[in-house]
Amino acid sequence: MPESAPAAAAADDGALVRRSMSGDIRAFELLYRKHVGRVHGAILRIVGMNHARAEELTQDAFVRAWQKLSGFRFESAFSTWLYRLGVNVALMDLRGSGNEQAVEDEVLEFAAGGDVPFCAGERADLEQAVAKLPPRARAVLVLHDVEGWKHEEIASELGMAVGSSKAQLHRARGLVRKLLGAAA
Amino acid sequence: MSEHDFQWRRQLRDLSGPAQPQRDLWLDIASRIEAEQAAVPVAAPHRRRWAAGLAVAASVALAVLVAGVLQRHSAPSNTVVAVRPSTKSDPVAAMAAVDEQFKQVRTQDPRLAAAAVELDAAAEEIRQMLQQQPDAVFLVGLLNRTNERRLKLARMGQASS
Repeated sequence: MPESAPAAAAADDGALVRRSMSGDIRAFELLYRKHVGRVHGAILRIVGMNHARAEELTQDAFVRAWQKLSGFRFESAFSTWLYRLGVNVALMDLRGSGNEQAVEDEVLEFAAGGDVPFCAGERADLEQAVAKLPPRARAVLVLHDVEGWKHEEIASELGMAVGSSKAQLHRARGLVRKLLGAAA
Repeated sequence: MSEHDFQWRRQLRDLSGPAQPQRDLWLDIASRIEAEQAAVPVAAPHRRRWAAGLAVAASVALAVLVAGVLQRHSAPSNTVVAVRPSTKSDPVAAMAAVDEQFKQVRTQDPRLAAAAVELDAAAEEIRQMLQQQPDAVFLVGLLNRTNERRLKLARMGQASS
């Protein structure tokens, strides 16, 4: 019965969330242990595989989840709510990281100068290439191509137009392809 | 979608999935949550208890003074007066009880009537503000000063009658 495992996990989460809401920090620790991998994985990719920064932001995400727990309405899976909150913490950090737009545009212009064919490589090469992207372009590429978000969702979270999200993605893909081609 | 694009999408999608932190973050998270919990509840209720305590104490002291005025003002059969505030845990209710007692000693002297009405209205307004801001100690002080004036006026009314 393939559906029974996720359903059971969700039911377990519900009980743990209710206990956490009443102040049971042990229950919240169980939620942390269960979901930290997914939250940390997404944050790590958004911050370009910077492990120290990703760990700080993962901590922030769980502290914020504890603070906002009373706002969780059980309308979605807790794992989804937590994952979105974690991604939002990473994106807020990215938004607050200063005036990098001019630099990004220069790098992306360089990337956009030609259609480089995809060059299959090792997973580590691909991770490194994505990590080298400017932060906003990396966030768009990670959220769309890795995490499977839609442009509308990305644009909303990053405070940009849908067209800008599409343009950033196109340019980011071009830059990754160039980086992979240079590494090959 | 070309073969290259398909391969590209698949490889990028393969980057998804969970990744464990290189160290256990829970201890740091738990310390931050506990520090935050310790910081938040201590400050506000402490002030609130202090303000509530002040308000109740002030109400009790005032009730005794009003009772003194009442005893002198009333017939001998009324010498035993309920001066206790209605509840120790609710300063607003305690002050409302004192307010009722003030109404009993309100002067009938027309020269003092306008001042009495004004002081009653002021006390009522402060009591309402205290209901909205139960931890506002300054309001307790303001109410005390207003009630002292009401008491003084009651004594003046008693002397003139």
